[in-house]
Amino acid sequence: MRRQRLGLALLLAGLMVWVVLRAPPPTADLTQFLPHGATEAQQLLVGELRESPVARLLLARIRLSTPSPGEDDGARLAAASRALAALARQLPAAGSVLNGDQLLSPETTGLLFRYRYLLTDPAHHLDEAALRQALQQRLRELAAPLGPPDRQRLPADPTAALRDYGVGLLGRNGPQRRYGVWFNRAGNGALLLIESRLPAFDLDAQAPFVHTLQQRFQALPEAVGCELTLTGPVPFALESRSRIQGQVGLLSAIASLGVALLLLLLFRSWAVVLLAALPLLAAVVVGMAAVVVAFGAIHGITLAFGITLLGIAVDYPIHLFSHARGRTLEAAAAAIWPTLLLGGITSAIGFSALLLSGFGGLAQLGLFAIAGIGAALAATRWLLPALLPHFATPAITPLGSRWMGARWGGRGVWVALLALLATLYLISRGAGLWEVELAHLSPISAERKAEDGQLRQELGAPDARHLLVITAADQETALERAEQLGPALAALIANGAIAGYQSPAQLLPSRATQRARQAHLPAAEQLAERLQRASAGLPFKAGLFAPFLADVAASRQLPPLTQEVLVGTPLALRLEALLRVREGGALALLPLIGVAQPQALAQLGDGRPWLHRVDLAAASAELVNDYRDEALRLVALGLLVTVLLLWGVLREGRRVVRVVLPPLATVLVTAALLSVGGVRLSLFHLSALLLLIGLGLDYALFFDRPDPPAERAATRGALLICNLSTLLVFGLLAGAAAPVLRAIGLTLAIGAPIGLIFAALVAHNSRPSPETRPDIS
Amino acid sequence: MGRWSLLLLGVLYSLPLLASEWGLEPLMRALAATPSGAIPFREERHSPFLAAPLVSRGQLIREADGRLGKRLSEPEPVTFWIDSESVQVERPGEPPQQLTATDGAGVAALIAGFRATLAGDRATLERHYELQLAGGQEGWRLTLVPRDGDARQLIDRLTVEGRGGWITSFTLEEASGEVSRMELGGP
Repeated sequence: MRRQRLGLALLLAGLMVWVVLRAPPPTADLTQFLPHGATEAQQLLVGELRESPVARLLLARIRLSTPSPGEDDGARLAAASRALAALARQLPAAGSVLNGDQLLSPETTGLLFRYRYLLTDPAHHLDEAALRQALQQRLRELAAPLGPPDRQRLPADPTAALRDYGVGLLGRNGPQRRYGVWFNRAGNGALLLIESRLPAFDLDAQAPFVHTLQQRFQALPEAVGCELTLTGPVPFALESRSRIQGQVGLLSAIASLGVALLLLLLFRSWAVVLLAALPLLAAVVVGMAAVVVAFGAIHGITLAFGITLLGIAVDYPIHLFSHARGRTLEAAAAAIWPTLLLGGITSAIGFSALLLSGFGGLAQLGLFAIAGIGAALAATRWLLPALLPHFATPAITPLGSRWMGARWGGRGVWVALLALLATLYLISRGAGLWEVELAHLSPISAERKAEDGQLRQELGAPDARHLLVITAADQETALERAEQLGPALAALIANGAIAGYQSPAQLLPSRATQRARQAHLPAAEQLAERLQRASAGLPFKAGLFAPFLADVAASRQLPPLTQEVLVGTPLALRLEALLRVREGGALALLPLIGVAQPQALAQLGDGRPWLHRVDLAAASAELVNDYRDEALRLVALGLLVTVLLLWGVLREGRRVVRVVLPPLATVLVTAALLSVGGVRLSLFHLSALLLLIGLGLDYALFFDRPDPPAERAATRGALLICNLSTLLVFGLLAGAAAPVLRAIGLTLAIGAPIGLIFAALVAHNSRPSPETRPDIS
Repeated sequence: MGRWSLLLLGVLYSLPLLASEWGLEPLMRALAATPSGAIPFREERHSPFLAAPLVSRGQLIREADGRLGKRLSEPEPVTFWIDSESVQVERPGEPPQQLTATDGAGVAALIAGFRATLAGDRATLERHYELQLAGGQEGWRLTLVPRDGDARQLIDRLTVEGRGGWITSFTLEEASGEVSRMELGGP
């Protein structure tokens, strides 16, 4: 019997581990935790989060960590900037890399130059006044020290046609240039923009890219004595993750040690210490396997939160060992099984509501927790007794009876009153109860965020928050609509509502626009005549502009420039980021720069149903709030089902109240206490409150067991140990610096003791008679 | 040949130095000692694109803090303030504007050619240029030929002429074929 059981367990464990190992590694793609798009705007948002060129943008600054006396600091920084740009361009994951130097290769510039009269608006269609003005301006430039870089092109391009091309997109009008590269305003840092081609929220893919960049930069001979600062959504997400992981690693090691010591002290058995971890281990492996089988892969967040929810599995072996006094584990397991099972099932029902959620991530979380609880129960009931057939527990009952005597019971009214007060308080807090500013949950310091804001402003890089999205049936229409938006955006720039914008039409005008420009180019004789009159009295050599006349004539015959012609140039990368053709249509993205008056953007949508304004910060806050509300609704539903189930099993209204009241009151009072303490509740608090319900239900069920007195003392002793270990683990988390961990830790550190006390207060007041009272010496 | 003939040779070679005491070091000292202020100039700029040279007049301003300004009165009023590697343009009635050049690496050398000469900063000059001095204290010519490739793409040569600590002209020969000659008035 025992052998069979162990063999079966081994077989199952092997199977599960095989499934987990064969599965793709946990994904870190945050968008899985977004809903599968109810509205079009949300779908766009999900896509935007996944692929946005702005989200994938890294802002870089190089500064000197050690100044070098006698050497030119600016020249050193410029050399480091060029070396970093060169190395970034070699990485396959890098999109466009801009540092102010050599924006385009001579071949690309040549291509654009050929198309110059189609790509930009020739001023007033090259009439005499416009030509005269251009020639006078060129003369001024010839007289100035450091003429513009394109002055060698004067004979072919007297109107300097390409200068306005791609302003904003190619980093023109960007930061100041010194030594040929971008510098910050203070002049002590070189600036770069590096675009990653990887999905922005796939952190596992992004991490090696960012680390390679940093490591290779450190190894550059040009970078000796230089320090590289990277900001932007991707570096920030990576920093948050590594901070949280680092703290979790350290704190959970300390907590495990603490719990092990506690168990060793109480049970004086190494076997207990080691085997107590078995149900949790089984829960994690089975939970992962279940999610992998159902969803194909498990999300990193599911794993992290899921393990929190499985905190309940640690309690099961403690109950088992505590009840093994004077009998075998098998007998003890059989004795507590009904209570364990009921507690497990009620917890599982609470979590099962998550399975119904439209959020992929929440559904994963629900399945993970349910499968895990099932596994932990099975391991406690059948595996542990089979592994330790002759185990005997030392006496720990005094603990139970001394601290958790029955004197507490029968005060359910007080608990209900407290719960009522807490509810009233929570209702009075209204919306102030919840954390709506997602940024507050980020472990990134305010200094780093300020650094990002400053770099963004100095680089003229788009706001990570505001974006316009144009939907259209095809690419051509998308470009035409982007062009149509031009005057309205120019008006917004003029009145200071925004500082600028980027648009794919700045790189590739629509075919219609290119054809219209062609149609307006003057014929050869006409242009020659105008030029003759415009240059009268100016000192240009006779016949100097023959190449200009020839190029305009040639431009009238050019086929319009298309995206295909740009393939292989850095422009194609920029264009790809802003213009997407996908199934059923095309999308044009217009990132906005320096949005000062977000409310002014609203009027852009008037009469343009194809235009979508995306405020990423507001929209993601809304998403997370939806997520939270959905979770709340589902948990309430789960609780209702739990009550019905308990009714069916316990068949007595009073007992149901005794079991349901403590966890409910615990959650309400804990939430109220957190709120009183100035904490705003977030999704993370909510997941901790979920675990609290599970724990509280277990506590209440065990208190409700109609045990004989000796058994009762063992039960309560076990509950106290469970509670202490929970307090130990989550109390440590409450001290963590990362807001996410602090939220979970604090909630449970406050809630777990309250849960136990409430369960004791509500418990049936059956005082043991003096003669049956256990020896408490 | 003995020890004596070697000594004699040494003395013979050092004679010119002893006689004039003129050289890069004294020139730089003299330039550095010249007070800052405004010097009138006339500039002629020859370009392969132009049938006649562009002529401008104005004042070259040396601020005590090392800033160099070129204030034109002809052909139109405009001031260029030259920083270590950029130029700011101030036109009356317009916001100041920064001129930047793509071939930036050479620009620092170009600007240093003017600024460091006026300031007598030999270390900076030698970082960017090969220096060659001809003539004597009463009439000298300093020829600056860029050392590195970036600067050579921009500048062929910068020739500075002067008398004692006073510069009388700058002649810039650009790689593009443009030549500009700036003649400076006396103190």
